[in-house]
Amino acid sequence: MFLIIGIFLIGIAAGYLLRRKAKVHEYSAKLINILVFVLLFSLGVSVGNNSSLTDNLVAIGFHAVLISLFAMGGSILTGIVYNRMIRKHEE
Amino acid sequence: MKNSLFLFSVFLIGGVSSYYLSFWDILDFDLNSLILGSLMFVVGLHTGSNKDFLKLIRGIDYQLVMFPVITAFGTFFGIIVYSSIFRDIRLNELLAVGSGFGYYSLSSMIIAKVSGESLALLALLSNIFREIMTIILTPLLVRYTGGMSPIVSAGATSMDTSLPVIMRYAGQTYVFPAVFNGVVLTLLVPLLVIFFLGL
Repeated sequence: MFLIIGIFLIGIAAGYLLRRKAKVHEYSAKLINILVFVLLFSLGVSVGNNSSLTDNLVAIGFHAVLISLFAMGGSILTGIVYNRMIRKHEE
Repeated sequence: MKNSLFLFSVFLIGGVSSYYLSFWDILDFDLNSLILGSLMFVVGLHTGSNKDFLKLIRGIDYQLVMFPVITAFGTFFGIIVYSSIFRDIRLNELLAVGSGFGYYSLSSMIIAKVSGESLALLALLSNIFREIMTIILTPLLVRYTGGMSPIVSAGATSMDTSLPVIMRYAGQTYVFPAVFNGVVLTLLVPLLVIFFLGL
C-alpha cells in the first residue's frame, strides 16, 4: 500500500513541475472522471454479486447515513467549540 | 453535485446488472490495481498542477491550518462516538471510512482494494451522504453556526463540489479557507485511509 502513496506523491511532483503546461489541470480532471467511472462500475459489480451485501442494503444505508452525520457533527461541533474559545481568548 | 449523482448511478448500474445478470461473474475485475494506481497518479497530477498550489502553501497561517485540523479531529471524534454506540465494525475500519472526508471515489476504491467491497460500500455511501447533506445544510449551518461549519462539514469537497454553495452563503472571505481545507484533506485521504486500515 506504500506503493499507492508513492505513486500519489510522484503524481503531485509531476503535476507541480507541469503546472505551467496548458491543460494539464483540465485534462487530469477529465481523466479522473473516466477512471472513477470505471472503478465505481466495477465496485458496483462486485457489490451486486455479493448477496450478504445486497440482502442488507437498507441496514448498510442506514448506518452510512449515521456515520456521515456523526462525522459531520463532530467536525461542526469542534469548529463551534474552537470559535468560542478564540472569542473568549480575545475578550 | 450533478457529476456525483451521475457517478453514483454508474455504481448503481454496475450493481443492479450484476445482481440480476450473472454473466458479470465471467469478467475478472482485477485490473482494479492498475486503474487505482493510475487514479492516484492523476489525482496527484491534478492537485500538484493547481495554479493556486504555491499560493496555498505560501498563504499558510495558524488560522488557516485550523480548518483541516478541526475537520479531521472532529470527524475522528464523531466516529469514535458512533463506534461506542454501534460496535459491529472495528474502530480502525470506521476511522478509515471517516477519513474519506466526503471524497467518496478515492477512499472507497482504496478500501475496496485493501479491505474488500463490504467496507468499501459503507465508505462510498457515507462519504456521498456527507457531500450531499453538507450542500443541503450549508444555508442553515451558516445562519446558526457561522461560515466555518459548512467548510469543516464538507471536508475534502470544500474545494470543488461544495465550494459554490459555501461561497454563496458564507461569503467570499471563506473561499480561500475552503479551498485550502479541501486541498489539505484531499492529500490526507489516501494517507489516513491506508494508515487506519493498517492498524
